[in-house]
Amino acid sequence: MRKDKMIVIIGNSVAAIAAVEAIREENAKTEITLVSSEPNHVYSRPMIPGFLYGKYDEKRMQFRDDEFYKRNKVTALLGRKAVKLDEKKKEIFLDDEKKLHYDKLLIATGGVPFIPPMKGAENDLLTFTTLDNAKKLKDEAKEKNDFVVIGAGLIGLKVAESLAKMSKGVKVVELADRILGGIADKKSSEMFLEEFRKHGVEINLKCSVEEILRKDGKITGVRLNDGRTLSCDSFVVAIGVRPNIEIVKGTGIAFNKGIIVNEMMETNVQNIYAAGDCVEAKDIIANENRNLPLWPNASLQGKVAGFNMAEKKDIYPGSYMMNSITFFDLPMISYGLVNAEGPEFEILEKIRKDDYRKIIIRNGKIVGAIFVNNIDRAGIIDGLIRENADISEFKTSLIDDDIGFIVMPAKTRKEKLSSVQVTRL
Amino acid sequence: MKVVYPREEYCIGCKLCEIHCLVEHSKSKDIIKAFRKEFPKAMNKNIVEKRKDVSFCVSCRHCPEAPCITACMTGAMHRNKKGAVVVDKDKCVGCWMCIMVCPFGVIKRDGEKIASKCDLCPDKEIPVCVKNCPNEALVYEER
Repeated sequence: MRKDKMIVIIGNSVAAIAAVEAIREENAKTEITLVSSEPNHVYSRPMIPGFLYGKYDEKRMQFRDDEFYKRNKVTALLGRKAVKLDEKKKEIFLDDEKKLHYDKLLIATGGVPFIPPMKGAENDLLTFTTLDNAKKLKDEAKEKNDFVVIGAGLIGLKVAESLAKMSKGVKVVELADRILGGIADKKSSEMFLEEFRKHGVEINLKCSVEEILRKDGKITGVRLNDGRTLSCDSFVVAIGVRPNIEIVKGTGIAFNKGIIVNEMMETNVQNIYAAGDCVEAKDIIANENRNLPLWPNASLQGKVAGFNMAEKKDIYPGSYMMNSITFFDLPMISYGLVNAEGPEFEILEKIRKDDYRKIIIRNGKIVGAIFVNNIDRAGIIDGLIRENADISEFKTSLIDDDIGFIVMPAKTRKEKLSSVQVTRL
Repeated sequence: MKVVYPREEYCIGCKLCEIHCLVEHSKSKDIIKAFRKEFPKAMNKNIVEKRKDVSFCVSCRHCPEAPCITACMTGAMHRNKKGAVVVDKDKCVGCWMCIMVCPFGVIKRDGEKIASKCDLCPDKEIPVCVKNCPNEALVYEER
């Protein structure tokens, strides 16, 4: 066996980068080759809405400096797509027909947009998950002024917000009966609906696009399933993403919706790891493996995978659904089972005009929470969820304005406040 | 590494720690100017919690494996040479991922819509909150 092992990483977003940093923390010598289908330096995908309306330039979106690859001795093959994996020979084939040998492999291929079948769909449909998508949309917006966006989840509404900030006409089409269904409850989604309407964004609920209407090839509108027609000259599909697992199909690597990993972020094939939006990893609230495509999760998973690849044993503690999002000037942080209903759940709420907080409890433990507008100190809730803390004694104080350690029993509080670190993420 | 820990049995809730923190993080570092003349007004990075007779000051623990750094999507949250977890103001975009994951709840939003937190007073040997506490209700030590 060669002295310096070869680690290959497929992907170039946060899971991949966190893995590189973890590997280098343990091992200065191992060779690292990183392959990314995108030509760009490390950039922050959540920042593409800001790029679209001109708040950030490409430089600002780099979440690691120019010297990142050099300093970490990473051979970065950017703009090269890994197209095939032979796990028996430990080889990766690239789109330029080169092949790479690996001793350890990390698959951090992220997610790809989901595009529903629609009549009239051609390959000019715009999506919004990559910098390249954002550049295309930005170009499009130079001459187009009237947009339809399908999807009123996080991505769809981020596109809609950016387009509205560019003074474009925006009509959003959403199948569900409210916006942000996955991360907001009824009350908080209404607060955001109001915010969008206030900023002139038209939101159409309970409908979907059946056909894209064209004249001489150019988009002129969409026909909805309820028979209505919305006029537009451009169209963005932003329903959501699904794990990008093309590379593992046809191999022995097990997957459901995402690649299945154990607590070391290793797949069922030894020496092949996976992390980030392409995996199903431990969800501590659902108590099963789930795909949770969130930046902090990807970051920690990448780090855990990196340590294990560098032969420092590390365990992914699990995570759960959480989001921090701001639309226009209204911020929200939400955690866990925001839409939980049923006799097993206890719900504490505080509603004010511009401010909303909700805590969802099951068996004395917090399983969900929502903070709208006043999001200060929300992370204390995250800590309590991750610790699986019993909060029965002080639960009603969790919706008080002065939420803090002061509401906890003295013993619990002192323990926490005298520790160096209470939870890992 | 040394960080600031509260000792609630000695705290009288006077909030001098908050005042000194604000002044230290102001432009002028002058108490009157900092409170009356600087706009936007500087913020204290620490938080005094108080109910009835109990009070204590909470500030960043500079966790060895800081959740806020793991969660930061811009690279703004980082560890400086002294080991303190600090925010690069030019990189922060105010996404509040750090607020979402800080189990101590000690990252704030400042007027410029960027994250604001304890930096352990880089120009001082001992953080001003500890130095100016009349009761030694804050200690700067390694645990």
